[in-house]
Order: sequence, then C-alpha cells, then structure tokens
Amino acid sequence: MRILISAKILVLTVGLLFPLTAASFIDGVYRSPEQKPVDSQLKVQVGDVSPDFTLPCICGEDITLSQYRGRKNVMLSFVPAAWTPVCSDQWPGYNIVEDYFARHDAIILGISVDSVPTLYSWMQAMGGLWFPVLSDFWPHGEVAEKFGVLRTDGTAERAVVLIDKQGVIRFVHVEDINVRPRLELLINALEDLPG
Amino acid sequence: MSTLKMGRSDLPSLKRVLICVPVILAVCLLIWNRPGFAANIFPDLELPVPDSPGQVEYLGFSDRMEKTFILKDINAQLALVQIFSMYCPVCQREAETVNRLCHLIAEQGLEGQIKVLGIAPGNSEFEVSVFQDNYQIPFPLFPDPDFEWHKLIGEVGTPYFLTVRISDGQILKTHKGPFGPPQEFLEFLKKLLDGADPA
Repeated sequence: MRILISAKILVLTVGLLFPLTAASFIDGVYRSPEQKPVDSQLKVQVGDVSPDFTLPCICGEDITLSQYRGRKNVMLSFVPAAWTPVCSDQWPGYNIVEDYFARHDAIILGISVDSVPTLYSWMQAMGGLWFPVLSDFWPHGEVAEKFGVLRTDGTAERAVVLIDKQGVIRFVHVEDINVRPRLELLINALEDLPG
Repeated sequence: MSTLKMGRSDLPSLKRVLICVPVILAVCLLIWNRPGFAANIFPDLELPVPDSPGQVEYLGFSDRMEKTFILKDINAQLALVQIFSMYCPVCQREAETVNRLCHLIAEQGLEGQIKVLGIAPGNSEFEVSVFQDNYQIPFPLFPDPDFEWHKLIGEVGTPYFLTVRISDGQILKTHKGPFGPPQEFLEFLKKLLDGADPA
C-alpha cells in the first residue's frame, strides 16, 4: 500500500514538474491555445487612403500616422497580444532587418491592444526594438477596428499594412493568427513600393 | 511559543519523503537534460547539401554527388548542432559567441574533428539567409520551415545545442540557452574528443 502511495506521489510530482520545465524555455510567456486563424473583416484595401490615427507610444510620446506623410513609408504591424509565443517571436526578428527598411525609406509602427505599461515591460523582456510600439488599448482597439483587424475577442489580428509616403495603402496582409508572417512577404512588399 | 513536534507516527511519512525526493529529483534531472521526449540518438533525416562552395568544403562534401546528406555522412567525430531562429533575440545575441567558438575550433586545428551546423525551426530559407548574412555565420545553417526537425528533436526552445557523436548519432550532451565563454565550451568538446564521459 505504502509503495502504491509513494508511486502516486512520484507520478503526480513529475507530472506537475514536467510542464514547468518544458515551458520555462520561453520565460514568462503565456502559451495560448490554437485560435481561429482570422476573425475579422478588413475595412481597407490596396489603393485606399489610410485612415489616420494617433496612439500613445511606449517611448512616452503620442504618434500620429500622418506625421510621416511625405517623409517615410510606414509598415503597420498589428500583433494580437503581448506575452504570447508567436508575438514574442515576431518583432525581435525585425531588429536585424532595420537596414532593409532604411533602404526603402520605411519605418515600422508596431501596434497591439495592450496597455502602455504592459507593452513597455514586454519590450524590455525582448531586449528592445528599433521601431516605435504603440498602444491601441483605449478606446479599446479603436485603430484596429478602423482597419478591420479587431477580432471578436478584443485582440488584434496578426496583420501588416504598408502605407506609402502619400498615405496610400500599398499592401495589406492578414496572417493566420497562429503563425508568423514570412519575412520575405514583407520585404517583397517594401521592394514593390513605387520609387 | 509553539514548538513543532514530531511523533513516532510521522516517521513513516518522513521516510517516504526521504526516499521519494531523490528519486523525483533524479527523474526531473533526466527529463531536463533530454531534448523533450526525443530519443537520445540524433534523427537520420536528410539535409540538403549547401549551395555555397565554402560550406560544401567545410562539410567535406566536395566530391559528393548526392544533393542531400545525413549527419553520419560528415567525416568528423563530433557535430555541434545549434537549434536557433532568426526571430529569437537570445540567438541574435549569442551569434557572435557561436562564431567565436567556430573560429577557435579552426584556429586550434580541430575543424576536421568538430563540425558546427545550425537548424532553424519555423524559418524560411530567406529568413535563415538574413541571419547568416547579418551575423557572418561561418558554418552551414538549414531552414526547417515546417518544424519537421523540430518535432523530431523534441520541440526545444531556442537557442539549444546538441553535441552529437557522428559515428553512431549518439547525443552526448544537450544545452539550452547561451553556453558561456566559447573557450570553456571548446575545452568541454575537446574532452569529448578524448573519450571523456559527457556527464
């Protein structure tokens, strides 16, 4: 009987410990379950003049899209939520392609529906990014909704919108929320921008 | 003042705990040190022979006619396989250290005995090439866009390192995260070359 109880304790303890060891490879990241790939209806298309917006940046300023008009091409990168695995594994990759964006006179604006403090802590954990990260937290998801990329659960789609210096949308892509958009997709869109 | 007292009836429980704890710790350590549930033999999946003449030469495939290879085809004693991602900030920070290790291996005349290569789960060929160019990686990197390798290796986090004995594919050691000073890691690899117990 005692052996049986000991065996149960052993099995339960190992069962409890194993998920912790497996998850700890990605520190502090919530492991979200598989989700419906796309859960919104786009409200913009290529050729439209982009809706304008102003959002607070984790850098401490408000950023308005139209402030880049005539100066920079802008790639909006919407991600669903901070501290989730795919999102945490997307923007850091853009850190090593800053030169591609510079070559095309382009900037990224990262946007999530999380609050500024949450986004700030998340960015710190990722080691920082070269581009501004904006909070679409309040009114909740208003900008995502303008573009038609707000999901029914209040998170944003994993979406990319490329806007040229004239403020015209040149590329829109809504990726399956469960995967990362291929980098070449974004680079090709940059290369297709009118000179 | 309260005092914790232990009666005779508590002794069997204590004994059980004393027996269980080391066993549980041993099992946990075993699990921790293994690449997920994968076997400790490196899988025999095929990799493409690289296009770059320098990398073909590095792997010793200058005369190879086949377009693919398995690890056992490499004429060396040990392979250090890095599981990485272009998107992983730790892998980005670690790139210079792994490069340094690779250069130390060459400088100490061990390039014929130890080969380094990288596999990138979830990365496309383009993404791998961006990483390779950005950090001037001197060893071959292979994309694993559909996570085929990743599943076989045990869906490990990145960066992750497997030291493999090439002759029989035995995984001698795994390491997650940065491996510290490259010279120290090389000393460890040299001990393995001398036949030391990896533990």
